[in-house]
Amino acid sequence: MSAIPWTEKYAPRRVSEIVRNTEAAMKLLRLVKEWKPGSKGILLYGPPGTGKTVSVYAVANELNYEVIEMNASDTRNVQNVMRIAGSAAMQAPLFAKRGRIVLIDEIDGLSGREDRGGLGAIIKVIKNARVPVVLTANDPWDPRFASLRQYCKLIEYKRLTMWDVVKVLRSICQKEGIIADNEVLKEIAKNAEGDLRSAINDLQALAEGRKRLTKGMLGILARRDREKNIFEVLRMLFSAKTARMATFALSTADVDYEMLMRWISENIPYHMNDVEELAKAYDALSRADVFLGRIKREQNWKLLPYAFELMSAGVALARTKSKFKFVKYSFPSLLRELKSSKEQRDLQKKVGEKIKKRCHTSVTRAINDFLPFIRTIFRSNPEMGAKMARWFRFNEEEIAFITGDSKSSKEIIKLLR
Amino acid sequence: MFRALLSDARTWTYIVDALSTLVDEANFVAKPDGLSMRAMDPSHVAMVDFVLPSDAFDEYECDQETLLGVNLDEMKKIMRRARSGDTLEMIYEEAEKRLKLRLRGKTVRTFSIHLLDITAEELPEPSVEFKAFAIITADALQEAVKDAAVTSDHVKIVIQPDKVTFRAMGDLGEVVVEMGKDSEALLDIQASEESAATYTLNYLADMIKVAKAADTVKLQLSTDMPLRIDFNLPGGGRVSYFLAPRIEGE
Repeated sequence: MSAIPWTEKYAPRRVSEIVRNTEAAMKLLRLVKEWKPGSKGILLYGPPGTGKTVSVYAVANELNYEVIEMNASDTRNVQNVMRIAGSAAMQAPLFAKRGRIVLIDEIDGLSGREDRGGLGAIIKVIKNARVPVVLTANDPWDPRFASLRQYCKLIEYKRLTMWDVVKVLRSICQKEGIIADNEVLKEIAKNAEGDLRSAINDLQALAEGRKRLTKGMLGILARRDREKNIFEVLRMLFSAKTARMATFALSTADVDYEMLMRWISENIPYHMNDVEELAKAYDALSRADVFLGRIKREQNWKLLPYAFELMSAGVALARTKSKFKFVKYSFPSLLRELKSSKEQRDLQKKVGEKIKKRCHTSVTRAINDFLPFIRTIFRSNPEMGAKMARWFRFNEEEIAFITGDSKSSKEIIKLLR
Repeated sequence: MFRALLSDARTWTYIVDALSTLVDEANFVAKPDGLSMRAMDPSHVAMVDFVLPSDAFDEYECDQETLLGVNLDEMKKIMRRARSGDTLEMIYEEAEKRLKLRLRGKTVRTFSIHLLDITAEELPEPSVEFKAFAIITADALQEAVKDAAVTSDHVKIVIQPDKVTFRAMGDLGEVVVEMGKDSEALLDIQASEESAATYTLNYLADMIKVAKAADTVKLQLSTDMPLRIDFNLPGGGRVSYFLAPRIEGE
């Protein structure tokens, strides 16, 4: 993995460097300059990768302002919006900067559940702000932004044309000393559908470790669509012939690593029927699991690439004999079973709690060491079972769970009445 | 290798309490000459600058500069368990990547926490010139902040050559707290010109938590510029806060 993403390395530092939407960025610059308390907030809208966020940073750079950003990776509920954006919008910058911009990025991403009340809080921040507040959105006409729009001036960012994108890609290639066929750049641009950020990312991925790009390499990129569903990801992973293709497949997934791991683990046998292959694949997966465990325990995220490579390339390249075929993927059975047994497990825990209280032991111990004996007593000696049930204060449902057969549980319940 | 011993664990409790009000996670920097931390709150409104030199500890060993990234809330939870009379020993060994906090009182209790990899953001050198300063007792500041909070969420601090004034205006009315030259609370004051700025009380309220560990506090400011508050810790060391002024409305 190379150090800095090119999207950052070649981000425009000045408003005039912004492609296609230069005018929009100029307008933003003017609004920020002329902004005074009581002015409206500023809402930049347009498709992804058109330069909304970068123009905020370019404006800040020109004016020597600092940017306090809240983006989709922050929880944006009422408390957090008030604590970070609200607080930043009320005070002057601490040192050396002439002013500040509060940027709330990608408000489309505000989720109803985690970011509860976030939108209302944002409006409040804008109303009371003493510094310019800038928001970005893909779709400002979403009904939930209706009242927000009244407090904002809107600036539109237009989709970039393929040629806009090609021009930027070419200048990056020049600076990086990469020779690229025009066809390649065009293809990348077409793929990105006017999204400059993803085009630059694709270019960087393609150019990793290469100085020359030809058309034949495009296969790696496949078709770009964000957030592939898990079935497509698995299909791509298991059909991969090279390590690069396998890791790429996983990188498009929109589920977290642990979930991904369960899916892979569940579906390996559908693709491999040779014992050696299976052993290799599961070995790679288990090593990935060891890494994930370490990452979790030690919070050492540097290890993530290892886990990632093992669970992608390690698994995919284990298949050497079996032919790739289309199969129906199944949902991780562990999760399914955990879900379906939830009621039983809850009941078991409740019983465990009651035993724990009476016998002064832990719940785990109560379930492992005590419950089997209690079960045997309940089944073979209902009278004694009834006495015990009374002492433990088990209810009818719990008695039925303990005995596991309806005949003896009925008998005990009858004796209790 | 880093090892430090404090004969009164509560000193550390106060320090951690104070630091954790501004940031959730931050790097302590252990150097042969002492322990320090500098961190900014997420809205870049306040900064804390903390230094505890090696001779403020009862025992101190550190052979090279070491970054100790900690979750301050976790550390705070541990320090809550300190009892009066406990001593605190902090031990870090590279091999383990854990920081051990050992509380020694009637029993010996060792808590270990995982260290975090925190990419330290570049923090500006606090290079501000101040036109005025006042040294007051730590509890006088605490009281003044609480008084101001009765009516408002912000307070104007005015330093004149002969007095400090805290003025808070709200919907209910006004609160004015004055400390003149004859006041026991005011220990020293100097102002090349009358200086005044308004600050948010929420932040001040968090910052004065460390007052429990200090006797006196030095306030420095210039008109509509950041405020600097220095708490000198008994036995050496200090906690300094920088707080940006509120931008006053029309």
